[in-house]
Amino acid sequence: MILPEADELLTPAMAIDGFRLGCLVDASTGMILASLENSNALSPPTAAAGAADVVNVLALLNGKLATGEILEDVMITFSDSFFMVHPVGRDPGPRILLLVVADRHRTNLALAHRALRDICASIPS
Amino acid sequence: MSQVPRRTRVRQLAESVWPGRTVNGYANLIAARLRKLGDEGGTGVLPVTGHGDGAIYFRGGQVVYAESGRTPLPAPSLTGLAALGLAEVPGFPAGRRSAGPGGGGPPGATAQPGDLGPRIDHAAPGDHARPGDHARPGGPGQPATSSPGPSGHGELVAAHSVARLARTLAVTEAVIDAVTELLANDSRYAKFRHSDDPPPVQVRPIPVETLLAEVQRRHEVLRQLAPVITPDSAIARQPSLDSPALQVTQAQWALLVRAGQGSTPRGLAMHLGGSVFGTTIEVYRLVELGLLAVQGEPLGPGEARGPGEPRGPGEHPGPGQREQPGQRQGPGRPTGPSGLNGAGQQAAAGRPGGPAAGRRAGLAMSFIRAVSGERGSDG
Repeated sequence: MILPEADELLTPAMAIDGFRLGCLVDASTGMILASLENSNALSPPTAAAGAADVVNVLALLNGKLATGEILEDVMITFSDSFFMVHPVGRDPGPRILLLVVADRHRTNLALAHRALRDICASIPS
Repeated sequence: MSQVPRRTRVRQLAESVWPGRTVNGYANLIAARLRKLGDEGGTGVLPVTGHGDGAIYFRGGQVVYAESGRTPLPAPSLTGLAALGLAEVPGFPAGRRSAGPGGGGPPGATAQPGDLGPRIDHAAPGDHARPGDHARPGGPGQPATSSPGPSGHGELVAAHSVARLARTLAVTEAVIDAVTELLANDSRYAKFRHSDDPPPVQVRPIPVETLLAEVQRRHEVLRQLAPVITPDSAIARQPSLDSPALQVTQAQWALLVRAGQGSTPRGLAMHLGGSVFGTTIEVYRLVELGLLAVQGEPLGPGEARGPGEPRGPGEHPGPGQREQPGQRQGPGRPTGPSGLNGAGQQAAAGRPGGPAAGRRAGLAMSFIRAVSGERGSDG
């Protein structure tokens, strides 16, 4: 963990039902800044690297489409889990990502989505 | 006669004599030294020589700072360091300071030859780079301005805001970038100097194992990108684009306006005060978008040649030679299942996929493959 003090920013995400893993990720390098996990089943570096790659591929898509839009979040559904990625801050080029992995069978996706949005909005810019 | 080159044989012999030394060089020796210093709780400086001279500073067995001659130092504009709990030592050689945004360039600096226009640091949100688009005075970019540094409190402050977190990250990134360079294969360490003197700049202490894991991941990412681009690859802006419009981020725009003929990711990083690793990846994305080209590479974006893929006679372009029209995909060409980053694109010049296409697809997932590489077979 590179920036342990960033744990504070992740703590509210643990209140999401079915929370399994939360990471703050540097989008440009894929580096984990801080992470919290409820289970050891997931590898935070792998999850963070995947999140960074997905966001960067979407950034390429956005760049090619050139619609002037900004990526707000990414929701990925696996058979047993949700991967939710939300850029932190209002910078159009996301520098820091919040990744939350939650148990699909215990999580209300809409509520989790809202919680994630509120968490990111609550962090002062 | 043995087919093994003499240099390799010598290294193999050295490995058999000195345990821990490998044919890949000295990086693991430095890593072992760092681990030992971490275990001992050392406080002082470990000088490193070789490809990029520098030093790694320890405090209580954790890394608090590192610098390399081949990576930028934390930009002064970022180092409202006091508020991050990071002390600056007066008298630290100013010449080694990087020219970061707002921290370096002379006032009124003009564009370099080959620049699109006046130096611009940021594109406004949503700005589009269009083919042939040039920076306009008062247009999408604004002159570099340094963000007001946080007021210094002289104590460690938790990252309660995005801006503060980003600043902390930027400074830490410079340290990790330096260690990534210092742990190159041809680097060697000198005698550890025990000292309680504070380093020029101090970041939050980083455990050695955490640092080494991150450095190893970065080396793996760079190794995967190497067939396309390295930190020292010469790049240039594409003279023509095949997309009607493209959208880039502020960081990408800052790179684009500075990328002249023969620029390298390392040079751009030094100029902007960013990390060499991050800049190399960002340049790679611009290559994928078709906005930059790697000089001497006749392939278009996403059409990277694999490491083992042979070049045919006459296939290698001469200096300054560019790809010919028709070698790259136009807007109307099929782009395959991905179509975004060249992963699914088939080369227009008669390369119908195959293993090379698979490698190109893999490059898109650079980070995740690097992480997997920690556990899997390497090399």
